[in-house]
Amino acid sequence: MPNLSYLIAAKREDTQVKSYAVLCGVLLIAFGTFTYMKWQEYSLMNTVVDKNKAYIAALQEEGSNEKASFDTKKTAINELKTEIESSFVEVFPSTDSYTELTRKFDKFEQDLATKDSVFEISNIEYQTPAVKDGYSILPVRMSIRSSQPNFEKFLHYVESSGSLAGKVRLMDISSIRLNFEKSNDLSGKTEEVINFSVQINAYFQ
Amino acid sequence: MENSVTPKMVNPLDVHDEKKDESSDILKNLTSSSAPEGKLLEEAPTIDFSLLQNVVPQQSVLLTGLKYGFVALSGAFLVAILFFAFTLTDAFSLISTQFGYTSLTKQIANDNTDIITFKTELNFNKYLLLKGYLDEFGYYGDSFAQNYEILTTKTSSDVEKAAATEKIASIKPELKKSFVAAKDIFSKEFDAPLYPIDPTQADTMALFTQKLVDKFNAKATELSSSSDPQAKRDSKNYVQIAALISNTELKKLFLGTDFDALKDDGLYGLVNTVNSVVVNDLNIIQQIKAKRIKWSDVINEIDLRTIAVDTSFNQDVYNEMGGIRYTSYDFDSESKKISINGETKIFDTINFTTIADLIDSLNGSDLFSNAEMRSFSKSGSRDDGYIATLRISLNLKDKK
Repeated sequence: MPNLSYLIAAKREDTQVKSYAVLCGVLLIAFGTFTYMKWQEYSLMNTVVDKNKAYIAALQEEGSNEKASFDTKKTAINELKTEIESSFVEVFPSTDSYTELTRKFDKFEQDLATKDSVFEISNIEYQTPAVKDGYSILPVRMSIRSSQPNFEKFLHYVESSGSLAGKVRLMDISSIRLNFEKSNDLSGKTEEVINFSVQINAYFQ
Repeated sequence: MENSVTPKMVNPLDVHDEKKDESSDILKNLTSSSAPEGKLLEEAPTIDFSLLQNVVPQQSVLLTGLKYGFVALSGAFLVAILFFAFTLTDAFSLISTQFGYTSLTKQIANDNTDIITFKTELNFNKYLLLKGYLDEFGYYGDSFAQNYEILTTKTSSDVEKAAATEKIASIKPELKKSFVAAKDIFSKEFDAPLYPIDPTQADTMALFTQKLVDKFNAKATELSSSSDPQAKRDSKNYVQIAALISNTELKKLFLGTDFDALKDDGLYGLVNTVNSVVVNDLNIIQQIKAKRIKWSDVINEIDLRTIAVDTSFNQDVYNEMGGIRYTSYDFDSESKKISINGETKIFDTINFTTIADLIDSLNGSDLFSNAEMRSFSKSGSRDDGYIATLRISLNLKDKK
């Protein structure tokens, strides 16, 4: 009769062949899948590294050009800033600067008033400044006697104030009261004269 | 021997075949006459099967091959794991740096850092330029807006309007130049492609924005303590640029605007919008200007609405022909209330109709609302004319 242990050994060997075959198969699949996926990643990262090198070189060059471009423009930019700042001192000063404003009103009156067309500032009264969000207000009450054309010029003066080019202190009219009267000028012609009291807000930083 | 087994095996020559005896007399005679009694051969040998106990089947070539294959595959797998761990991760950075090797992950991380640094530096210079162009646009825009307002103010004289037109014509090319330059900067890429090593850095736009803001803030802080006027100016400029970086509204405005397609009113709107969304010194001025009421236009509108009712208004014929005459106006910017006082003189009895017409005329204006006068009274005679007192109150409509 056949040797039992021999048969067992033969059977075991057969099982081992099958097991190793399965293990090798599984391992081969795992190895293949792993290597394939990682190789893809490896290739991609290598490509990224190459691209990055080229991109960094281009960035450095572009950065140098941009800096050169800014340096060229820098003088003009700084000149404009200086110009804006000097206009700001007039238009939107850092303090209420009421003395300067008074001089400006006087100059405006001087430029406007003629014998034929009256413009007289009879009273200027500066009130307590008020602080708002980001700016401050200096309230000014004025009493003015003016001809109709000069009254309009005064309105335009206030309405167009605050322009950097014009360099007129930023102002607006918060209230105005007009009274009309008739007067005769030197030629005897009747001229409408407006007596008005105006409340102006003069702005500062 | 316990394991010895005596099989039923005998020497074939010892087996007596009777049938053969019967069938072959010759063989019978031969064997019976000459052969001695007893066995011809010795006892058959016994087999000791215990000797086979250690006998194993011969090693299969296939199994051996499989075993070697398995070992080889395992080795290769391990090598692959180590190779990819070395090249793709930083797990063995301590060892790899000994050999002067940098993993791809590390290389990409270093590249990303370089890209962020260089791109931020590039963006830094771009935004310095952009701020310069925006300041230029604001400066010329301010001048443009002032002249445009002169042009559109109804009470401006022809001389003033002609001067404003000339000024606008000279300003527009400068405005366009700064607008186009700023738009060009806005249109360029702000961020850069980064290989996503860190998933939290997926939003590159936010990353580059933050880096640039940090750089400007750091520069501003560095200069803020300086007493040098230029350094102070630069520090303030950097703070304003930092606020500009995340201003997506401004970027959209520039990229979505075709400057050449804009007429003067469109350009005026653009200047105001830009000034309202840009954080700079002009911004506050712009806000104040935007709230300002053009009282000259308001007075002009009252005059026009009055002329619609009284064609001889303001022609100095009130005493002779009658009509409407105002004695005082009250304007209040805060409450946007206007009150008009005056009188009507009519050489007829229709004073109240004239006042009612005036109220309707004022209410028909785009500037006013709620014009009213609830109490009517008059005195006089048909010969001297009836005089009625005017006390109209009205509101100024909000700007559209």
